[in-house]
Amino acid sequence: MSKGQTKRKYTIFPFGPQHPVLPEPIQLRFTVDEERIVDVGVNIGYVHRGIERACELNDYRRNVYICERICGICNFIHALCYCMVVEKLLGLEVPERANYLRVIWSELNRLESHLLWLGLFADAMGFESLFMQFWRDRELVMDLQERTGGNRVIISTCVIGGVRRDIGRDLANLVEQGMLKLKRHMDALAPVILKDPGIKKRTVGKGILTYEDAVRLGAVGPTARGSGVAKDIRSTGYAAYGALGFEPVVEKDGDCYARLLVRFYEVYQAIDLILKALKEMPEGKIRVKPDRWPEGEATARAEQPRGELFYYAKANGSNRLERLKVRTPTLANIPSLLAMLPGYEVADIPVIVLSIDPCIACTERITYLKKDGGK
Amino acid sequence: MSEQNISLTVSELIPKIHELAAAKARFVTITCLDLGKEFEVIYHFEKDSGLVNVKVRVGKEGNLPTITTIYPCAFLAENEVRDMFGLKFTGLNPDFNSRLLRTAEDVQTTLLKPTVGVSPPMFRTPGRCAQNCPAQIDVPKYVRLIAEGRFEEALETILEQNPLAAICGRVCFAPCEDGCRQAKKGEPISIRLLKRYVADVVGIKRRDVKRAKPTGKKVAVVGAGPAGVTAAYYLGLLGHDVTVFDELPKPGGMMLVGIPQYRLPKDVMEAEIRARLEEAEADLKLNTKIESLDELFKQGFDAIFVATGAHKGASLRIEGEDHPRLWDCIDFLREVNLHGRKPDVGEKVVVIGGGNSAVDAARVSLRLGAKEVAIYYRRTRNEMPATPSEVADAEEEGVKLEFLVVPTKVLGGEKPVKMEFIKMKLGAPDASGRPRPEPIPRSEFTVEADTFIKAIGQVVTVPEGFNLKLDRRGQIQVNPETLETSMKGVFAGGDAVTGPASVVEAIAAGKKAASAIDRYLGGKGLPEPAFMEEFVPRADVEEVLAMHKVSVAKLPHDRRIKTFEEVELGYSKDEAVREAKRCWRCDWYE
Repeated sequence: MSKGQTKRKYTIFPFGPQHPVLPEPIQLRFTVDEERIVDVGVNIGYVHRGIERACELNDYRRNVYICERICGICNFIHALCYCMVVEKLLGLEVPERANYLRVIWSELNRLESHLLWLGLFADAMGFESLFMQFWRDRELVMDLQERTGGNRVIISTCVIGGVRRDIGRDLANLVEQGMLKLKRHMDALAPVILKDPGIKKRTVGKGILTYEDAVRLGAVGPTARGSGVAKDIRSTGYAAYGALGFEPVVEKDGDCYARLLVRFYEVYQAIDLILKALKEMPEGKIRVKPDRWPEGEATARAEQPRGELFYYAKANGSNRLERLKVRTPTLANIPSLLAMLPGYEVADIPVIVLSIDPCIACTERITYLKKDGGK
Repeated sequence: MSEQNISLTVSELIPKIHELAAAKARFVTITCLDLGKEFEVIYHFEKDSGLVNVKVRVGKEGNLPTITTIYPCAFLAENEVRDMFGLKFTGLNPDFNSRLLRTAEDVQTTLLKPTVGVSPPMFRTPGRCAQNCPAQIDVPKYVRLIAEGRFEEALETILEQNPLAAICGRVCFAPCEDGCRQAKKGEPISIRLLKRYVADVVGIKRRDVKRAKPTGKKVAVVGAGPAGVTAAYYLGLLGHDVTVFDELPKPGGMMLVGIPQYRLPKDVMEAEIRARLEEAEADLKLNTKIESLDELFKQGFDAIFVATGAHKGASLRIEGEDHPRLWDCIDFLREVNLHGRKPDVGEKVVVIGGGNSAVDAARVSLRLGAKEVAIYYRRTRNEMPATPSEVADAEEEGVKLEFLVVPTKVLGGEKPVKMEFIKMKLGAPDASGRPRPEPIPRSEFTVEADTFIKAIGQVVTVPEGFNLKLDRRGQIQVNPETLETSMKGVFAGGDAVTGPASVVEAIAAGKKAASAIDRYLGGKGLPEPAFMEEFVPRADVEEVLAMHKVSVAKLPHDRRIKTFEEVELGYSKDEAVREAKRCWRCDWYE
């Protein structure tokens, strides 16, 4: 906590672990000088789900379903990243069509997540009707996930060596129609995002993260891109992103409004990517089966709606992994969040905290090694 | 996506990190691997959209220098590794001191509590009232059923554990009420009167009960008092063929002999006992004195339950005790209660003793025409074993109380008789926990009365022909767990084992004996009381606390002392429901 040079008395108050704007267990301890935030401390680790440890105890093929449950909202991307790291260990080449299908589902996940966040963000600002609009449109995406994957949220289509389901011509038509409809809806909402004075008053110039800070603190995803850092793992060309051609969305201002714009434009970008992938998707197999057990160590990265997702895996030639390490984007963005907050007013806290799109469920994926392994 | 692996020693780490920072590499995370003897720590960096993995090996007791001085954002990753693996980082800032990850033993309880309000209770305890009840009746459950107006279910709940609801509703000394949470306010719920209300409103009748398949075993019960009837009832329900023997012309035992009509109408008592025995399909053989147990075994009984009670008055052990105007309380009450005679007690009666029998004798004397009745007790009001409400009723009817006095000898004379008493003071507590009275020297005084009645307790008399092992007080010796006596197949309980006690304690003994006898005959015994009840949230405690006890209507004073009519008139429906609603459900909430 900041000592301060003057003899002024500071107030310390906790934000969370239960808070209306963020119903997930993270605690921020604010030191405030009247209304102004002077310093922030962080407290995480309230709910450990033991997922890394669980992955060491299960068959590597079944881990897909565990990893999928690390985060409900970007479940496909977690499964994809896990499959990518294991495929690297196995030296498995995924069929082309499967790569395109993976892109389609990844982007559906991103749409689902961004529309959810846009709604929540509007809600945090008190813009109730915009919140409803975004969430209504999100249902379009959910319906498509259900039609293509069989479930609204956890779709479980990614497996090691490809995907489990194909999107045939009829379904592809349906997805296309849905995307075009969503685009029309977004066009209708765009003037609100771009021009509404209320939104601008709550977000412009709030929670500034400079380019230097974003680089130094290792910000990822829309948080980094809102500060002018052109970092997007999709540019590395995993799955079919290389073939589809990809340019990250970047805003320069580094404030909450910039992060809002990045996500709003990424909705359009995701729609375009899906449409393009549907059009260019080649015919062929969607899955190859692994012919041996994984060995060695490997890393894989994928771009989640919240930023870079990192998986590290080590295997010893048995059907189980020796170690799996997951780094979710929210954990990487917490230092940036702490840097954003000082200097702003207490009333800005909900908007700024939400602007990194925190997903604590992702962050809390660590095992209790102390208890069961004594390691 | 290029990937670069670099293995370093600990001392080379910091220079390498500086080099990466200068090349604008982005810190990704730290992975720690447990290799058995040492840790492998991998620092993942992103440089020019490729990954750089810096690997360092360190011993289990070793330290690593922190990289937070170069990459401040690494503090979360380093704290995480430290908490998971116990690997120390020197100069880690900020250091969460192993509190970033909490272990299961160290859970933040704030998260486990609901944010608002009190959580609904998960478990039910028997409740203090039920814990106090020797018969283990689920008191809170039936009180609540009464509050909801479900009287038949309430009665069933009582009869599960206590077959004599109407009797206990009148004469039980209600230990449950001492346990009642409302008693802290001095106004416990009148649980006994609630029980009486449901027994009366549903009526004493033969119910349709499920009797187990007949086992073909025969059990004899000696004594038709509360212990005997209870044992016969449950044994009958368990499928045994039971016969109850009693030497008196009516069933009830000490309830018949010792408890006056105005407290327990004899027709109610007999009807209830007969109804229960019929339900259990048990035979009742009255006017049959059993002299020998071997005789019973010869008649083909497989087990015998002896519940003969304590029917002989204890002796004062003073000079001139055989005076004809010094009566024994039990003999006196038997005359009145059983034979319906009206002994001439004269104008002035003195009762010696402080138990319920003494109070009964005093109140009966009043009803027989005595003008002046006094109870002489050797300790004070606080130590009196009689139920306080009984004592209060007696005083209301005009009975005088004298404390700290003890008779020393009968001086003789006929109408009036003279007796010498001595004054006492309280000394140190004795074995029963009550202060022992000690005589004050030279404080003797003489009392004149037409009749003296000694009511200083009863002793057990077991027929010699039973051949059972007795203790030094003449009570039957039993195994306290199974109630088995020295003779195989013979069980004993009630006053005959414990000495004079209460009706509900006898019922508890009867139930215990039924279980033990069933096990002896190859059964499983009675099931343990389950104390199951569906949870219903209570009304506001403050509201419950604000309610006052509903007093019970009693016979007008002038009619009381002339007749043997029942004094307590019992609750009406409204009163019973109102009283039952005062339960604040401590069984759920404490």
